Amino acid sequence: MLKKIKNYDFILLFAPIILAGFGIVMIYSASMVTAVMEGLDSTYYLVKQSQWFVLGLGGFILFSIIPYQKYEKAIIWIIALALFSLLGVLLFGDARGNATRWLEIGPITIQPTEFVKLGLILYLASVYSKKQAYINDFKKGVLPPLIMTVIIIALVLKQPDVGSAVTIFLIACTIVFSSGMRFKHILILGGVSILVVAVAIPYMITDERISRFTGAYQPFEDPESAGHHLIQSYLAIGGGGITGEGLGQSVQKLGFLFGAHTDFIMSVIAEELGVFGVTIVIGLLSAIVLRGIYISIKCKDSFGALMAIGISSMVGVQALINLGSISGLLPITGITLPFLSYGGSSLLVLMISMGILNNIAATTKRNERGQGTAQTVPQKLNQRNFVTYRGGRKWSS
Amino acid sequence: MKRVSTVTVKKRLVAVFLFGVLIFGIVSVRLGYVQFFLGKQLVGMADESWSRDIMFEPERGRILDVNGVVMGENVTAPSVVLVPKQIKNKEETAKNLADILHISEEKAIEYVTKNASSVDIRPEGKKISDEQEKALRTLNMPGVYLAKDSKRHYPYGESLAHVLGFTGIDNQGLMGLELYHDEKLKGEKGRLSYYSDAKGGKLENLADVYASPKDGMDLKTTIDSRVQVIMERELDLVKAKYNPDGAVAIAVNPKTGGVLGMAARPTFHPENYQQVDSEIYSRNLPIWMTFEPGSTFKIITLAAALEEELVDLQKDTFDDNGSITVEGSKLRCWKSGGHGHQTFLEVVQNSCNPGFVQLGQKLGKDKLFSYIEKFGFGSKTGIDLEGEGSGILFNKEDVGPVELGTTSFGQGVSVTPIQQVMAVSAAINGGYLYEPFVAKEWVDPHTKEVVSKHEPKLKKRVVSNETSKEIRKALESVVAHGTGRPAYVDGYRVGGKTGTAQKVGKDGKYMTNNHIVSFIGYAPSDDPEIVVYVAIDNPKGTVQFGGVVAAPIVGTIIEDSLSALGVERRKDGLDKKYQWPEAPKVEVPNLVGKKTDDLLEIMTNLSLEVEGSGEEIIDQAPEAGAMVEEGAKVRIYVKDK
Repeated sequence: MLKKIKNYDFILLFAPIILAGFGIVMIYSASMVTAVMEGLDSTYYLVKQSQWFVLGLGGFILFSIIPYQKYEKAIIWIIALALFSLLGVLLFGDARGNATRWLEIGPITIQPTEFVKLGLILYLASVYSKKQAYINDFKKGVLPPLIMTVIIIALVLKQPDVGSAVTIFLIACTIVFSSGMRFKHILILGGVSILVVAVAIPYMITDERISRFTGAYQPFEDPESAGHHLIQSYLAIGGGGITGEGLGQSVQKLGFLFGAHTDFIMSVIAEELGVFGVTIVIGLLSAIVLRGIYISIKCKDSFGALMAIGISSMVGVQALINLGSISGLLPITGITLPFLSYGGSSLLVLMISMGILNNIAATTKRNERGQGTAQTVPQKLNQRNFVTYRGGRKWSS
Repeated sequence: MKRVSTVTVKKRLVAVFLFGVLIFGIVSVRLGYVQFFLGKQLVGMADESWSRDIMFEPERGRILDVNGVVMGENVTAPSVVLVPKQIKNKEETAKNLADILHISEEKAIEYVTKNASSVDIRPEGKKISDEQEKALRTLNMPGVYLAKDSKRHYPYGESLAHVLGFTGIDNQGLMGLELYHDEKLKGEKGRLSYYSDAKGGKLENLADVYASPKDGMDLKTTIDSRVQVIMERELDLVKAKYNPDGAVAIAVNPKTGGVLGMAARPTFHPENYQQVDSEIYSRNLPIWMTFEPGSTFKIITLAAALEEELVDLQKDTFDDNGSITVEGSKLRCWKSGGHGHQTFLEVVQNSCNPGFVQLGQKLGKDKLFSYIEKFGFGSKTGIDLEGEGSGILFNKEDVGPVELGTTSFGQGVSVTPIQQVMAVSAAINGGYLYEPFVAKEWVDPHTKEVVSKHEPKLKKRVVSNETSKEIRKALESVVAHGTGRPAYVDGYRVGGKTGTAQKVGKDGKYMTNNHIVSFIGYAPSDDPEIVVYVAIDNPKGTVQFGGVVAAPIVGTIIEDSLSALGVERRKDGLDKKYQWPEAPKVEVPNLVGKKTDDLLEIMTNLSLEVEGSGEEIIDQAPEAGAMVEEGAKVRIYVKDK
């Protein structure tokens, strides 16, 4: 077992756990007032997120052991399940506010969109790696998976969940771009996407969406409604300064900052722990993302490579949209911060994804060692290399 | 085929990697910007307007005079606070509010329907009057509350207005001491932070945090309200008598630089400052106005010449024939025909321009200007009031002999009243140039303990004690024997100097019949306790002459102030040399044997009735040595030789 761990990637092993653990602490700090305001126990969100974290840890370990190549065979079931769950949300979903995004299964409530993200990543990675031979053929190689992607995005938009739809779109873009298809085709797809968005925009516009935009770019025009959340976020971040107000000392979480434990968890971290806390979180997040891309580059197998890039982009895109919106670069869309924000489905999916990524990393490393040592050991037959060699041989076949 | 594709995939992945790094970089920079710049600017806002905390207003510190007399204080005046959710009949409430607070009904409806936990009506609903309060209390409308609030009250009315300044609708200092010392006066707001839901209700199971307000400290000033009242009274008289364009008066304690009083016309009432032009309340003339000082500036030239030992006032003499020619320019004396042969002490007494030009020439450009700067001209004095001017000096490179000459009698430089007062204080107090100040002590309003104290700040030593003594002697003689006679006060040994400054008009030339007449005086000469400066801009219906208009005012201010301050009258001062118009008896000179030609010189204050004809006087009536009223008739008998 110890030797097996050796092949795992340490960053990808520990960074998610540290982030999620830190997230739980911050969720407690940020949510206790909200919880009481909602008539719940002040530890309500802490307990729930902790439960999901334990579940996530299980998923993390499980999926890091399952060899990733096995998903290829199940891909048809995975994508089917994704489609059905989305349809299920539309038919039997639990409406909260003006959106229907949740599905109640017995005692737990899940957000299928989170799982669909991972499902689509696996699906696209599988399809494009199989079609590598004729990836340059637009009709045969490129188009079919994209139709599935469009259907999924449409279903998500129907909930409506524009933020997740954009996230899924960007993840798909990253995979498509990385799949190695012709640049010409990418340009065509880009052009078509822009056209579709341009046509769709007039139908998409609602007063609320307009106010999201004006809120992000002119928060002070209407500080009491459209710009309210962003200004409160600014106040929280600005209040933190270098050292922060101290853990648990956030003022903004006392009912001023809406969604302090979800969308705006980073604002509370900034307020309580200052630049120090922000740096650690961004450092760990970017370590995960960049490490994922690095693994994708290293991976010899295109299924693994595309899966790794898809997972990295899922973490990266969500992190950037979230951080962008709390700092006023992007409109507020309801995208949470990976690992840190409150949300069980999201955390579970992310932990599973990290498990898969770890498995890809371990497999890649093992293969590298297997090849590397096979070439070097015969020249230098010393003790240390021999040990590595033995390890390599044991797992390389 | 597959191999080529794999290479493409790697390239693409690297591109994604680099793109990821770039985007992360951008977001990090943005977060940093929010954290360090944007957010910081907003944090103050979070404390006040956004917070749902209950704020407790601190009591603003009072402003006291040197003896603890209140010059500025707070009186309660309630402010209207609306809680829209509790207002039942919105339309009727809005209508009532509009009537009582004099706002439009549309605006009132906007207030009562606003989506907020509580609404202030600014500025109409802040610090309302007694009648408005009564009306609102009678109606007793639900959701309309009267919050305890206070407004500033200045018991002395317009007195000291520019120095005190005033506060705005939130009791924030806007002008004068109120602004300059706002930080200490305003105190700190207290707050009760409670965990609240969106409707403003309290959540009982979470602890409150209470920070009590910290009241502002009381400011004890150097101002003596008695001196101030005297000065204000005198300026009121000036206004009634001469209807000038403006007037300033400053009194300073030369031993510390502490300001005893400061007044200006036109003035305003600090509680109703909006009723006058902003020019009136924003310009504190005694420290803002800059103009040519005229002859009062000669004190500086005199001090420099004495300190450099270039002149002996008693022994050195000067012949004044009415003008002095410098590089072809004729610099005239104010007295046409000149003062004739005089000692330099008489030059000072007569305020003789050519005599001072010669002193300036003796000093030379560098020395004179170094003294001018040493005495603090050309730079702000540093008084703790808003809006001080710094004056204008000649650029030293541009100073030729003519400019040197005019500067030595106070033309061509531009100074503020406070600069003159501080410079003259230094000249007569033994040579110590102090920084003027108003805030003397900060007193805890509850314990009455002195929290901090402003020590007099010595800027530099400008002349020696001996020089200072000589200046005092000379200036005392100006008042006793020279142009400053109207400022003479029996027993208080007033010293001083007149000034009549020409004003530069819009065309850049000196205006005719439009002067700033001034007098700077101090007393007692053996140990000066007070320096008083009065300048009157364009007094009407009088000879525009410092000695005539300003000197008597300074005399009165000094006399009344010193007796109020309890300074004893001296016995060993110089006696006043009487001169028309207030001269009592004059001695009839012996005219017998003189020629009629000589009479013009001798008989300036008597009128003549001549009997007979001829050039030689053979008899006179009354007799020589008799005391008669000034201007009385003296009969002389003449005949030819």
